[in-house]
Amino acid sequence: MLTAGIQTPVPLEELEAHLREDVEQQLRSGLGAQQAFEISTARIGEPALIRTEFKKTGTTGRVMPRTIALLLALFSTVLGGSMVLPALGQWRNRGVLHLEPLLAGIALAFIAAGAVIYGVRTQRGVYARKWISGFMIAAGSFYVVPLIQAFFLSQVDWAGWLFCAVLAAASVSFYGGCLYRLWHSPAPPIGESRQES
Amino acid sequence: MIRKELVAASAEPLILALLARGESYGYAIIQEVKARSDGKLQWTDGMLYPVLHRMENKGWIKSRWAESETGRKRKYYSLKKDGKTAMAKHQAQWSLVHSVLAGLQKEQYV
Repeated sequence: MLTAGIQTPVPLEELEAHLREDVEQQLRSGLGAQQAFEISTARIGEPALIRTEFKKTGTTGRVMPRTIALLLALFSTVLGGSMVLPALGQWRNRGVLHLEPLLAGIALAFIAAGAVIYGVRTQRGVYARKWISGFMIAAGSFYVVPLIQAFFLSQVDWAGWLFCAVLAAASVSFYGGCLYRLWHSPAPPIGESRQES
Repeated sequence: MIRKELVAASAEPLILALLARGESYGYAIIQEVKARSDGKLQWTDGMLYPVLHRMENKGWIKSRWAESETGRKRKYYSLKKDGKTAMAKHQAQWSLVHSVLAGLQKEQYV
């Protein structure tokens, strides 16, 4: 099983426990140790096939890196926004446009948003989904903050209100859509292959 | 011999139904399925565990390690609330397919 690539301890321990139980059962039925072991290992099945099935569940040790990547992507959409919003604010208030943080922030936000969409489509672990959902709500809320701030500031004109409202609506739609997809995407049927890695 | 597609499709509802009766572990689940089907439903033993892990990832079942009677570690699985809902959906779908097939078979002999 190790040479076939099933390296995470939990599946290995389970398969080992199963093998031992089956061998014991064979020995109780009167078979010799060697024959019992051969029958039991044959019954377990092809390691490569088992590894392929475990890969679909994400239990070959790749769930954590994927979850971390998705969380970084969420953080980056906020980072991109925190570069774009001040640049736009300075441009509006002082007429000074700093292109570098604006373009860098837009690029970062788009790349990160694309990574979030990809990660949401391939995420299968229910525990990781809870963490990701929490971060999505936090990221979405970040973009709603300007709207709340505008409510408390007296000098905001209609253009400013419109911008904040559109930003908040877009954020809620994007992150809300990602949340919906995260919890309602259909799981692949047993036996069907899907590229998740 | 039962087609592998049917064996694969029936794995989840069978596991859910077995766990609805009480906590169990992988080896016992396979033995139970073999016994109930008179050996006609032959699962490849190792292939059960990815299915169990997938169901655990979906939040349908939970697991715990415990000691068996022989002192060895064994992983037990039990049904969660979402698993009961999933089981009910599976059973409704299988009942539907069965009722359509049964109806068609009845018509053949009328």
